[in-house]
Amino acid sequence: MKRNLFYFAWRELIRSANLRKNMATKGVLIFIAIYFSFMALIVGFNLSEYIENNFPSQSPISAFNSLIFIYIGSEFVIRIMVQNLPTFGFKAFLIVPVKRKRIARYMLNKSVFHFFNILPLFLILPFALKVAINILDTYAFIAWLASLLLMIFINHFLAIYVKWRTNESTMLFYGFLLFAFGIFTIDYYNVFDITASFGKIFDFIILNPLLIVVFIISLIGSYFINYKYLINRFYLDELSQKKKEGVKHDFSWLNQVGEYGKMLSLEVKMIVRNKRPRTTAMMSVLFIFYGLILYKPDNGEVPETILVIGGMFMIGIFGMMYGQFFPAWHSRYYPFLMSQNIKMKQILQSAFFLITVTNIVFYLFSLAYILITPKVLYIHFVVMLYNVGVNTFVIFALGLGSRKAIDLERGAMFNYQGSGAAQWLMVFPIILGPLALYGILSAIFGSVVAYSTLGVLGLIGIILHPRLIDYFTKKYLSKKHIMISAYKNS
Amino acid sequence: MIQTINLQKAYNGTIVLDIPELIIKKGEVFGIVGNNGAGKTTFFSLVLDLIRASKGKIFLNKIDVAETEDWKEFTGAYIDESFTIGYLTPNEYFNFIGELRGMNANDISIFLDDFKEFFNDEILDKKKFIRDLSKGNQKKLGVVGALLGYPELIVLDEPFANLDPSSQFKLRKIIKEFAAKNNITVLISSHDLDNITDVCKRLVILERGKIIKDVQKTESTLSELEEFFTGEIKE
Repeated sequence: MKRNLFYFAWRELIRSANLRKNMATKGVLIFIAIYFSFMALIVGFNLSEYIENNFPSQSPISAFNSLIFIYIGSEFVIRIMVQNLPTFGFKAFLIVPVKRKRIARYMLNKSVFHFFNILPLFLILPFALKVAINILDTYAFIAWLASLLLMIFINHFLAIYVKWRTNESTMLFYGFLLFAFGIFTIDYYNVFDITASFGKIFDFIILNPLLIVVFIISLIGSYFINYKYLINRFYLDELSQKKKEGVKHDFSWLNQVGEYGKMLSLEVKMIVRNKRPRTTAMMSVLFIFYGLILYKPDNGEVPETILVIGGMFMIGIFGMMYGQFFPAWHSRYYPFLMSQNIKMKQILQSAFFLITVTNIVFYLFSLAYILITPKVLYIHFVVMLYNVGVNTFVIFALGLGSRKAIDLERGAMFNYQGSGAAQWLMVFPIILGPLALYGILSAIFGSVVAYSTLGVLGLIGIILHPRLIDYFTKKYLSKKHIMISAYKNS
Repeated sequence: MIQTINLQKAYNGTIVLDIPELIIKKGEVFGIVGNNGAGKTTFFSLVLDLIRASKGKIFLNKIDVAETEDWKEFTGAYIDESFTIGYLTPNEYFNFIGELRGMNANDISIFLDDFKEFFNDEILDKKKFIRDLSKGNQKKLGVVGALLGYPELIVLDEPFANLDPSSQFKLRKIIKEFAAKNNITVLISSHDLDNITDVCKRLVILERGKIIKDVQKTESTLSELEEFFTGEIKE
C-alpha cells in the first residue's frame, strides 16, 4: 500500500497528545502571521507611490527591482534565524520499504508550505497588478513575475541548506553572520553597489524573457543540493539536530556568593548552556539598543514618559523574560532540586540576586544614553529601583502559578511552548502597572512625586527583601507538590 | 529511621497506597518488590515529599517530611531521569550535590575514586554533558549521586534497570558494602528478584498499594518470592 507521506504528517498533527495546547500556540502564531501579512499588504499597495516619490528619475519597475535585494537579503537572514528545518519523524520509515529518495523529496516538498514563501506575495502582487502589468508587455511581465516567484523559492532552499550546514557547526554559523554583516557593510558604504546590481538581473529578464531559464535552473540546483544533503545523511546520528557541545566554563567562582551561590552557579550554567534561555539572554542584551530607536528627540526633548518606558524595557527586560518562566526553567529536574539539600529559600535568593545584578548592569549600560539626554541618569535609576524592589516580587508571585515545563533545548524565537495565560498576563502588573502609576501621579502631582513614589516603593521592596523572600518561600513550598506533578505531566 | 503513620495516597478516590504502619530501622537495607502499579514509586515519592499524602504522615528521623525541609540534609535519592541535570558534566553534577552535602572538592574526588570501576571510565573527567550520556551511564551517575556524602538514608527506585549485567553485579556489591560500612539505611525497589534479594536484608511485597508480605531475608526468600510472583502459591 502506497500511502502518501503527507497522510502520516497529518495524522501526527491531529493525533498528537497535546493537540489543544498546540492549537493555542498555533493561534498566536496565526495571529502574528495575519498581522505581518496585513502589514505587507499595506506596504505592497503603497509601494508604487513610495517609488514615485523616491525614485522620480527611474522607471518604477527598475526602481522596484533595485529594492529586491534588500528584501531578499534580510529575509534570508531572518529565515536562518527563525525558520524551522523540515523535520519529520523519518526514524520509523528507515527500516520499512520506503525509498529514501521519497522521504527526502517529501521533506523538501513539505517545507515549501511555509509562511515565508507566502508573505512576499503580499508585497509583490499589488505592485505587479497595479503598476507592472500596465508598463510591461505580456511576455516580459510573465517572465518578470515568474523570476520573482522563483527567487522566493531559491531563497527558501538556499536558506534551508545554509541552516543545515550552520546547525552542524557553530563556527559556520558565526561565519555566516560575519558574511551577512560583511555584505551589508559593503552595500551600505557603497564599496560595491550589490543592491543595484542585483536589481539589474531582473531588468535584464524583462529585456530577455527567455533568460528565465537561469532562474529555473538555479531553483532546481538549490533543491538538488538539499536533496543530496538529506540523502547522504539518513542516519539517526547525522540528521538529528543535536550538536554536541564541549564545556568551556564552569562558573564555579559563583559558589562563593553566599549560601545560595551553588544554586546561582547552576542557574547561570542553565542559562549559558541551553539554547532557549541563552537566546532569551542574548535578546535582552540586544534590547539595550532599543533606546536608539525609542529616544528620538521630539522638539529637542525626549518626553519623560518615553524615558520611563524605555528604562522599564532596557533595564528590566532580562528580569521579565527570565522571570516569566521562573521557576519552570528548572522544571525538568524539579523533583531532584526538591529532594536535594538545598532550601527553597536559596532558590528564590539566587533568582533575586540574578535579577538584581542584571538590572544594575543594564542600568549602567543604559547610562550611555546620557549623550541623548542627561535625565536618564535619575529616571532610569528610579525605574531600576522599582524593577528590583517591586517587579521581582511580582514575578515571584506570578511564578507561583507556573505549571508548564520548559524544554531548554529549543530556540526561544517564536517559541510559545510552556507559555500560558500567566505569561501574557504578566505584562499588565509588570510594565503597565508602574507606567499607570507614573502617569497618574505625574498628571496630578507632577513628575517629582511620581519618581519619588516609584523609587520609594522600590527601596521599600529592597529593604524588606529578606522578609518577602521568606514569605514567598512558604508560598512556593505549599505549591511544591502541584508544580512537581504539573511539570511531569506537561 | 523511617516511620509511617496511617499513610494513604488516593487519586480521585482510588486508594493507590495504604500503609497503616511501617517502621524501618537505621542501617536496614529495605527492598520493595511488586508488579507495575503496586505503589513502589508512589511510596518513594511520599518519603521524599514529592507528592502529598492524602492521609497520615511520614517521619524521617522523627522529622515530618511535609513539615520542614530539614530531612534533606541526610537524604539522598535517585528516582528517575528528572534527578539528573542534562546540561551539567558528570563532574559538575557530583560537585553540585557534594557541596550541598557539605563536602569540598577534595572529599568529592576521594569519594568518587571508589566508583572508578563501576563507572568503567565512561563518566568521570569527560567534557561531555549528562544529556549526551547513554541511559545506563545516566543511571550509574544518578545512583552514585544519591550515595554521595554518605547520607543516612538513601532512596533508589529501580537502580538495576538499564544497567548491563556486569554493572548490575558491581552495583549489588557497592550497595551492600556501602550500607554495611557506614550503617546507612537504604530503600530499594526492583523488578529483578535476584538482585533485590541479594542486596536487601528485609523484603516487602507490595500489591495494589498494600504490604502483603514483610520478611527478613533467609536462604529461602528468593524461591518464596519467585513462587509468589509466578502465582503458584496464593497468600
